[in-house]
Amino acid sequence: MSDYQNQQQSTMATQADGERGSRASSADQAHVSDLRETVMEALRILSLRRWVFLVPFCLATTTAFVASQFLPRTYTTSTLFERIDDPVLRELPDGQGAGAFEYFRRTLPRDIKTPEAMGPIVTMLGLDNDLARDADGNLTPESIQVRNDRGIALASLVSVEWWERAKHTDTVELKYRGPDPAVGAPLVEEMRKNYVRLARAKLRETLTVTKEFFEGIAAEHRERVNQLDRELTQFKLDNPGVDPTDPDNITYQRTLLRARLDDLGRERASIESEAEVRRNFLAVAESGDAVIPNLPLIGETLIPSISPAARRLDKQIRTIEQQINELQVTRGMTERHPEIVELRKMQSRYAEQLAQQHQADQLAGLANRPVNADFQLGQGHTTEWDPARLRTQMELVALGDRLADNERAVLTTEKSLARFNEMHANIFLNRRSFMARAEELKDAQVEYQNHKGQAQELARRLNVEEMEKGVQFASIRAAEVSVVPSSPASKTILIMTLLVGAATGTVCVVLSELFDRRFRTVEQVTRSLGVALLECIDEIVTAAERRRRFLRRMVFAPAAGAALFGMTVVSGSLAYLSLESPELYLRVKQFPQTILGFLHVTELKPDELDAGSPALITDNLRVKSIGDIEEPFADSVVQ
Amino acid sequence: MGRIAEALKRAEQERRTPSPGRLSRSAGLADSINVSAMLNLPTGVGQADASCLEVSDEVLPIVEGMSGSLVTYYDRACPVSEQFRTLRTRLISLNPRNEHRVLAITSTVPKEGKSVSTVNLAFSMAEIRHLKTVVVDGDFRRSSLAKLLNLRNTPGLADLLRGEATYEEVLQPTPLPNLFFIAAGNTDKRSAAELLSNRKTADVFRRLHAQFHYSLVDTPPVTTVTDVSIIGHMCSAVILVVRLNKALEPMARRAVRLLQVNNIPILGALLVGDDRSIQRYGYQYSYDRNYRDYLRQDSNDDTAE
Repeated sequence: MSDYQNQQQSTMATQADGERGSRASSADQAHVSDLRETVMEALRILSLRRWVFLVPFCLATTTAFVASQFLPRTYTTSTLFERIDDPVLRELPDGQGAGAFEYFRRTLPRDIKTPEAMGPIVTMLGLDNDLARDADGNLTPESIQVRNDRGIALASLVSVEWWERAKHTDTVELKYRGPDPAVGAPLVEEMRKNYVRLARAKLRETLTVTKEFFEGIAAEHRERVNQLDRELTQFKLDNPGVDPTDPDNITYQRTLLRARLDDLGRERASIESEAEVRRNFLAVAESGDAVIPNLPLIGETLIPSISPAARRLDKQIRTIEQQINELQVTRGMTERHPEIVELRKMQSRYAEQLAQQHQADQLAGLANRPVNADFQLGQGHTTEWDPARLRTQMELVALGDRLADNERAVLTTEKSLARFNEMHANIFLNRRSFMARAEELKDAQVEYQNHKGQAQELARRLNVEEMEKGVQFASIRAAEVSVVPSSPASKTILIMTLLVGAATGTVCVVLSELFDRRFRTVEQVTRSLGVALLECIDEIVTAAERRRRFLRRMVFAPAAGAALFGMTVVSGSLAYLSLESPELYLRVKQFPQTILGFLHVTELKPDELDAGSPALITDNLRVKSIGDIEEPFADSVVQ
Repeated sequence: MGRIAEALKRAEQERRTPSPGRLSRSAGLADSINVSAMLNLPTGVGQADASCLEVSDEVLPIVEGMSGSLVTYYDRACPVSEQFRTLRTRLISLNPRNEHRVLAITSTVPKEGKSVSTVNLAFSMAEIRHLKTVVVDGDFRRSSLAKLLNLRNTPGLADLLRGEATYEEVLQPTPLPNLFFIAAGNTDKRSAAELLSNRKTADVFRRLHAQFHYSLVDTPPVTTVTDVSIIGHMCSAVILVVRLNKALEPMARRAVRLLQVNNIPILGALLVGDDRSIQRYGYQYSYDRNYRDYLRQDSNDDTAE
């Protein structure tokens, strides 16, 4: 392929690209051009038929403005209040507090709209004055039903909205939307008070129920704690030394028991020695020797008495002593233990009685002189031996009793020692069980304390709530009587009216354009008639025609436009005033009557003007409420 | 706005007020003109050459009572006058052999401007000195040309057809020497169709055809009465005046169909009024001003020469 052919092909490709680009560009331009032509055509038609648009626009707008004044009005009144929950109450366990507040939040719209809640409000608003009453002035059952129905109807006009749903705070708005502005403010205020009242009652009820619940739980746990404590104490008694906090107790007890056995052994030896001496004395006395051997001094404790009563008391004293020893050894009681203290007191009383018995025995002539060394048998008085022998025999009996007690104490002590030895062998095995029981007791105590504390806290909170210092209800914005309707909105009316006017004007323009068969352009004529076009002659405007046009453009058209515009503006202003300033609207509506009233009054005779001067007439024109305007001249115009 | 109105009014007065040198004749001139002397009629067709048309540049007199809508007489520099000149040129160009023509001018409905257009076209034709032109008011019902020209309405065509007047009596001069006018006249309670069906009618139109280069007959609307169907047969062709923004398309089409059904040749349509497809304000203002300045400059050059 030659260079010339390559160059030619590249040139052709470039031209093809250029053509494609130009076609795309021309397509875009055609699209834009079509759009521009469409817009320009629309503007041209609108400009051409501006009066066809303007007149229906103004008429439709005026009609819509006038009609808007007859639309039913809706007035809005709202009150805003805040409920600050008590954090302590809210943080109650098991979600009791949170559940209660969630319950308030959930049931608020329902609670404040019940017939029972709304009935008194209807009465307060005086909306049941027309209902039938009995002889006492009370509403009949049928009237109550009607009143409740009215209350429900009123409640349906009130909405509950939450501005804020925080954990501890609820900001609630009660909004009334209804046809009567005078009802809204007291209605929502009373409903707010109702809600506060209901909420407090419900809160107190919840607190009471919760407190009783926790008290019941605490009682159950207390019973369980006591039972576990008893079981643990018994276990400790049954297994001394099992408590790891007192690990040496069992060793100490074993030591004590061994020492006790030693003491008992020594005591036994002493008693046997004493008894041997007395048996020897009796043997000498029975053998008839003149010499009376010296008897060892026997302590008072060994010969406490010789009378049976004294012996009985002595025995009881020793029995008590044995019991004390047994308690101290087996149950680890100390001298300060109440049971030990009681036994000691009893032992002291017996000791006093024993002393008294000794004195009584001495007075009774029984031998109260102790056997001592200056007693001589060899002097030949046999009768002198008898008291000593008798006394020695009695002492032998007493020593025999003491020996028997000693032997029983030894047996008891040995038995205890054997048991402690066995316990000492099993102590590690039982300690695990003890620890489990102790842990269970501890948990039970914790739970008991916990529930007991909650019940106490609830009791305190209930007291606080009784004083209405718990949950706080704060009014953020009180309801106010609003004479300005909230619906329909002035902006909406304005926009809708203008849209209606614009739509009407546009429809008229479109219809007139569609049904207008007049020739508008040269192209239409040539296309339609199919004859040659000789010439287009412009409109010949003479001076008179120019003046007419001038007048039409400068005077009549502006005047007509101003009239249409003024009509629209006046009707729109009235519609706006009726929505934004109803009081001023009523005054404006009453203005012609006021003027007529002035003219009427000025025609009255001077003596008739006293009752209705213009000043009085003006003062009489006052608004009590929306839709309720006093007749302006009811009091002043002389009939 | 008052200043603008005053300025427009002052400009109109200046335009309507001739300079002392240009005013040569006063009103009532027509009465002193000898019609017969002026009827130096052409002896044959084809004498006037379209390529050497002699346009009159004489100063025109102010005629009291003549309608201000006759712009081709009062304001030759205005665009409308130029548009009528264009129409004139078009008609002449459509007549290459310079034959005498009797043209009926009609419209679809009344008030479309055919009378004003007829007279303006006649004045425009008469600007060419050698073209003898006559304007005939063929609308017996609403005759308006006499009022436009401020000439007498009787005796006129109706009187001529009734035999109450002679041809010379009904032929009235106008401020232009080569332009004549025949009023509608008095029908004397006779119907227009009856008068037009008279045998004299054809004689009158033959005479007009013979004596004048262009005879412009103002006729009633096509769709309203049947006069055009009668007159059309005696004319060379019909010009249909269509007023924009007024004439209805069905009516116009019906008018064309009626003319075609009656075998009346339609020369063409003359559109009158604003074409609203054009951006009127700025375009018209600039067009008028520039064109008027151009014409004035041309006129000053002619005067200086």
